[in-house]
Amino acid sequence: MIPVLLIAVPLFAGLVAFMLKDGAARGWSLFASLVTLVIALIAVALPGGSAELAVNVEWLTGLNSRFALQLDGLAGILCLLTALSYPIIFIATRGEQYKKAKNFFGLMMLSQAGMLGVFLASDALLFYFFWELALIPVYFLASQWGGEKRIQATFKFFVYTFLGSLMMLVAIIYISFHTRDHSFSIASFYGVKGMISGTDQEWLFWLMFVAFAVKMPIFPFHTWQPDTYEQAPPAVTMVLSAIMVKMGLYGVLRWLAPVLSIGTYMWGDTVSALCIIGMIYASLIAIRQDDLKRFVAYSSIAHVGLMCLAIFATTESGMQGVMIQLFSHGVNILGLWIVVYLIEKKYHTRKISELGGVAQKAPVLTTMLVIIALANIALPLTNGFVGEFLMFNGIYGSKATHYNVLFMVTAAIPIILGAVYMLKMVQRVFYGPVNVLTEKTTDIGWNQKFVLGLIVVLILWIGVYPEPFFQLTRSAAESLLSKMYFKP
Amino acid sequence: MNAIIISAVLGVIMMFSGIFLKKNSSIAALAILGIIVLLASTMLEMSGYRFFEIDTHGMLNFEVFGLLFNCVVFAATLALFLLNAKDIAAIGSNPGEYFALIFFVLCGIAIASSFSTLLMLFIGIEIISIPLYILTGSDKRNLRSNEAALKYLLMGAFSTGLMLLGIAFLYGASEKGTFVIDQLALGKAAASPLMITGLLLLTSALAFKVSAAPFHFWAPDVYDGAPTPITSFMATVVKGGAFIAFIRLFGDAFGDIKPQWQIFIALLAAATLLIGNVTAVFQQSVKRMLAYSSVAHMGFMLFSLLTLNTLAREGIILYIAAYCVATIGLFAIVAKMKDYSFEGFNGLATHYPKLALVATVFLLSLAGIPLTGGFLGKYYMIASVIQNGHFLWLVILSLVCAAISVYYYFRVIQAMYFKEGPGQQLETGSGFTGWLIVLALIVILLGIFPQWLIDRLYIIYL
Amino acid sequence: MSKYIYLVPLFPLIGFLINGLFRKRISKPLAGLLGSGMILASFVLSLLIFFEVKEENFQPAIVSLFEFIHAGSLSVPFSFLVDPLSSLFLLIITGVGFLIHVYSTSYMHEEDGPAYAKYFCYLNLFVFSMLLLVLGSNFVILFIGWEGVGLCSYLLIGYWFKNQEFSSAAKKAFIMNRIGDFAFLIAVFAMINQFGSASFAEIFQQAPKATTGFITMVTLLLFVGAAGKSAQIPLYTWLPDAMAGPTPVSALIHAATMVTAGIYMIARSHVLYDLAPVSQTVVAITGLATAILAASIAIKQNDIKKVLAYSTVSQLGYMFLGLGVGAYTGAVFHVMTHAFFKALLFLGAGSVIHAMGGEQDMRRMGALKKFMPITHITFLLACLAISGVPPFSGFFSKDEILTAAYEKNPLYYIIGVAGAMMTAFYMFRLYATTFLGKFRGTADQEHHLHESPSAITFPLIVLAILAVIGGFAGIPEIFAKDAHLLGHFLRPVFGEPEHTAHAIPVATEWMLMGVSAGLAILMVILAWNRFSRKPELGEPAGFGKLLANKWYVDELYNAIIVKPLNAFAGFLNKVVEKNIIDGIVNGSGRLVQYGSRQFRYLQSGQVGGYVLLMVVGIILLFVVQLFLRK
Repeated sequence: MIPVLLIAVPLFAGLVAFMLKDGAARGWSLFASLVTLVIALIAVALPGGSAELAVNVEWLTGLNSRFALQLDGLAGILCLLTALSYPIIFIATRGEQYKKAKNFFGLMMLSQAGMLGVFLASDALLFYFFWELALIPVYFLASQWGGEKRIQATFKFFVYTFLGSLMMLVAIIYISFHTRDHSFSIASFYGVKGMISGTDQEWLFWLMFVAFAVKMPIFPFHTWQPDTYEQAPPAVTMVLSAIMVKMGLYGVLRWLAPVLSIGTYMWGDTVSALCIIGMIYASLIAIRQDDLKRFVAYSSIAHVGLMCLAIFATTESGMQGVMIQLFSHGVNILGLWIVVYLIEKKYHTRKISELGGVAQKAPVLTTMLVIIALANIALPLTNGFVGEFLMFNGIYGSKATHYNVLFMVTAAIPIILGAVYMLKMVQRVFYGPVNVLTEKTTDIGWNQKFVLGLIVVLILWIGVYPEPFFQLTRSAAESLLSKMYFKP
Repeated sequence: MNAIIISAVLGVIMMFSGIFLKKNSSIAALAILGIIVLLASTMLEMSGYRFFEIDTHGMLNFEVFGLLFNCVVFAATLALFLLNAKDIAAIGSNPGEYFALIFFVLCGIAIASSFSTLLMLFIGIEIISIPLYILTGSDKRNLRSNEAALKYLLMGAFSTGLMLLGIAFLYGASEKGTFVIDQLALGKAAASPLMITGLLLLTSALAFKVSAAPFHFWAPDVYDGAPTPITSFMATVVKGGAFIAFIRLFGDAFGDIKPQWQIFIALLAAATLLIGNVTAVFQQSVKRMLAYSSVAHMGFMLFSLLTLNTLAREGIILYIAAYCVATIGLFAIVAKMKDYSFEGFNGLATHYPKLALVATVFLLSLAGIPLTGGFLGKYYMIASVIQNGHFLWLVILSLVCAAISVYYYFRVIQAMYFKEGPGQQLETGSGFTGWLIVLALIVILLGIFPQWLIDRLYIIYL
Repeated sequence: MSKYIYLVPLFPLIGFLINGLFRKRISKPLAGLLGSGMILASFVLSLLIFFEVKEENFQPAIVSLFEFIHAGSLSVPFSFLVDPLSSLFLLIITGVGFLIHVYSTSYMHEEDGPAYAKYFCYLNLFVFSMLLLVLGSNFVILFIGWEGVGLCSYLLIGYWFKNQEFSSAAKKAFIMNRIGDFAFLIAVFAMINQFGSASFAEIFQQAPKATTGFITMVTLLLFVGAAGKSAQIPLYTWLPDAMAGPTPVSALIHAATMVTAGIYMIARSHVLYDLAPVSQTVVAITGLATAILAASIAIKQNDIKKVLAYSTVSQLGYMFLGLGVGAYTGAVFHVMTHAFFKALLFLGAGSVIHAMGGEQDMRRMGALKKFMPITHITFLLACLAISGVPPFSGFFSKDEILTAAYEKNPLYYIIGVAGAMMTAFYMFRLYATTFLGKFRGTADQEHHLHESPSAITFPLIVLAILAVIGGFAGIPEIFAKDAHLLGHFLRPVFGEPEHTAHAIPVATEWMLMGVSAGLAILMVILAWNRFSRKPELGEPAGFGKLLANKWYVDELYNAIIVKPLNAFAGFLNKVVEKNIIDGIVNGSGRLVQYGSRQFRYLQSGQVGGYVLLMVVGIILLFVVQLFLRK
């Protein structure tokens, strides 16, 4: 029952929001998102595999597709992230004024419903439905309330992802025809391994992977991202990078690696190489970014590459690390975006070169930012370290490739580059003397203090005592790993 | 049988309605009543109530598939009337005639969906075409309308010629010398060149009727020239009508020599998809864009003809239903607009939020976004090809084309929502908007719970 | 006692949190008191623990707090290890740390409230990380402290972040450290995957089973990490720049403690190094090279703190030499004595700078002897100690290392002694130019010259005492049997010190000792005479210029690493990203547009044209159907 609530509440809230007054919609959506958060918390609190966490009813009988939802550890941690992000976003961007605000908030809630659906669906066709349902509201949000070049940027993003998801659809149909019972249920998808030849798996793999790679994004499918992040309104950018990016990784974890295990194994090295190239490439480009939004975008690409790499390492440590990092990265990048948003709001510029000396005027903001930045470059005792440590360890110990050491070493180069670009940004924006622009400003308001504080607390909690999160995801990691393939 | 006779009778009634009914609105009402009767009678026949017992000497053969299909197109016509009856009546001086002609077309469709000999096929197709020539030109004072009518007539004549030639060849090729489709290709593992030639000619002619590339060139011009409600009618109901004929012909007559003709159906489909979608990208008028989109959609429909498996037969009905509803809805809005270029749609969302919303639903459905009927339609078409196993290249091509189609459909959405515009005055009654919303709901319903329709389809094959 | 070990790092942590969270409200005296008090508390605890560890029958204890990382087979507990080595370091860190805190309360008094509190909160955080580093019972916890001290030095170097140069120096320090950490991490993963655990006990116990190649790789990687942290070639350039921070910070971080992390880590994992002779040689040679290079640079520096910075680098070189030749006790011994006299030197320098109103250039000083007696005396003692003049502490520790070096390879000894001579020379160059001769500053400065307040002089005196007597903890065995208390104390960790096995005759050892001491004293006198009469004030020329410009190493790095990397990044950003990758994406879009425009021409509007096209179409179908498909 709970999974249904998780989707129904935001969905319903969104539909209602369209009918409210602009003013009311804001409060309403915040309230609804908090309710969702409570439900999510209950969901993760419940013992794994308990009956409340699964739903399975008749739907498209004609197509052997059922309305089946399942909340396991992986879905749990991602639902938690989604449910947590929305209130944070709403509170952080409280001051923001939108015209046709009710539509804005309505669409926001719809997008949340869609994303929760993606993480919960345990029927391939349903998964595809939610996959698109999550995309559409975001498309409208970004191209209605974004910057001046928003329409082109968002449209590029849409067509890009749409083409990807169509490919995925074809793969899904093909696979379902080869399942024992010609159905879309995840169980029969996991059972399909033996029934599709290795050669078929190899091309099927790409049909699916492209869809996920575009969403993540993996080099060289990433060029939509900086433009979209730059153009979309702050709240939407936060949704995109905190949650939507995870959809791609989640897809690989749940629907690709365990289903087309041979294909995944066959292409593991290729994909890993792409990930690493992307990580280094993005890190280098981040060094040269002057626009804060593009800067964050590229740093995110670098981090996502590592997660994808860790999945293809197919080791327990790696899987565990990815699942923690899915959450941590969401939290951290959310924090970064909030800071960027605040800076743009205060100084009406995102140009790193035009800023400076913020630290003297806004010490609290600076402290928060520095902690978040450090979490982003995986300093020990921050959440970033726990995830990356496990992932690197997994990559090093990978049995799925002969180049595991090479992969680990090259993938670790961004540890250095990350420090370079992060500290460079901190130095240019926050340290140094104040200039005319940053001269007369105040520190951040209570609501931003609150959300940033919350984020910092999460960062340190996961960084110091991650055990609860391990417990949440452990079983999921093990069961998924057991379905993946590698030469022992 | 019910449909054929009743639609003919209704046609006659409508023709004379002008004498005793003076007000356009009342004529429109009568037409709506008529179409409801027609729809009801067909539904009854489906569940076994035949009003007329006539021995057609095996010329016609009413199977549920065809009947169900008729229901769909009649329902579509009903929707068209509900939305545009006034506009149809307002085309020219004598409204009754337009409805009459439309009913005759429906009669033709009823025949084309139940023929069992090539002669009946020919008659059906012609009964569909001839009234259309007139309808296209019905806006007498409009030069472009007349030009369109003439073009249509000329090329239509050409295709008729092809069709007759094809039928003749097939007649010659069948050793028994028969027009009965079931006996044409019986017991032939490999068809003779003669038969293939006939088949090809016939295919070309039908391809012309359903406007499949490279026989589609008339469509954009004619659709553009014809009065918008008529365009809507042609692009949806008529297209469907011609296509069912296509399906029945290949399904019943040549099902067992698939390998012989599949390749050129595949080629037709590919060409149609490519030309339809790519050309639509450049259009500046929404009406013309929709014309091309109707061509593009025919490309997808041809998939069902290519595979002719269960999925295809289920899917094509769903596809046509979804396609008709969405297209009729959009044309209905276009019909209300003076300026139906893309700029004309600028800022529609601010002035007519409801219209913009339903239009968006229709467009998403045409683009094949999930939760709309359009998606399931596309799903079936693609699935049928995948199940068939060959022609995966066609699937990939169709993906690319689907992505392209997003481009021109979303241009309208972008215009309505993200661009500022003066917003032209449209005379839209609450009834009009209401019916549009109903259509939109149907589209979504088809997308989420297509079960009702699918169940009907299962009844057919059980 | 040792079960309360977690309290030792806890106190500074508390201090950090309170000072950090309430820095707005908290008053300056309170902040200072809190900061120093917390360190004092952990110092007392460390003392207690030390005495417990000294007991004959003490067994190394592992105190586990909670499960830190646990995934699959890998389990990393958050646990501390109490043994002689760690307890000794506890004393050094908290002891010297405490003195420096006290010193800071006076030295930083010009800072305004929040900044003052922030300073102490950073300082406490640093001590906390350093304690984690030495207490960790596995490489992961060690790494936490390892990165933690890196972070703190970043924060403290950039303490005056208004100044872009300072924050650049901070950035440089952090990134240099990161390069080391990069190697360190790889080593850690290698060990985890080899031995299935990150804990010292596990690894050292299984190490002998692993291949020499593997051990060599791991030890070399670890050494790269150590080189980053302890400023060895090629990663030493950050340390001199780090002098941008407040002087007490330089004393604490860049002299007494943080930079010794590398020494500690290698000493801790000496089991591995003993198994990898190649790595040992690399360590020894790198150390020696660094010692010489840094010493040579120090000779020509005029900034008082820069001289000390390079002397630190060079002294660290000696410690690595010690590690390289297997004289672990000697290295640790030198860490200890060095902590005393180097802290003293920096604090003394701080006192001088304080008196000179922020002036750091020795050329504007001189004759400070008569103005600040206490600073002068203590500073002199420190100089004697570092120069290796008997019987000051530096002599014993350095001698122990050099003797061990001689056993390994006499050449090491000779170069080492050369370095020691340079050390004596530049230290007394520094001493003479600063305290002797006549005053060369402005009259205004001269007017303000004064001895520093007691909060500053007290730590100086304490450290001076330690610098003098500290050496007696490790009197060579040749003086008296079992005189080497430290060696005896550390024996459980390092086992029998090699060089006490008398691989070389006693006579030789006396001779070596005599030579090094004699030469050192010689240089002292030489420098004293020369620079007290006519200190070099002009710009150096020729070879001196080369030294004064630090062999242009920074410029070299800039030219071969930083600039090319930036250029490459720019190329990717401007060309590859915009034109190639995004170009392809947008290009496909344009292709469709173009195709659309072309197809449109088919739609001529001419019926004739249409019919023609239809016919062509039919013909094509025929061709395909009837001919191609055969």
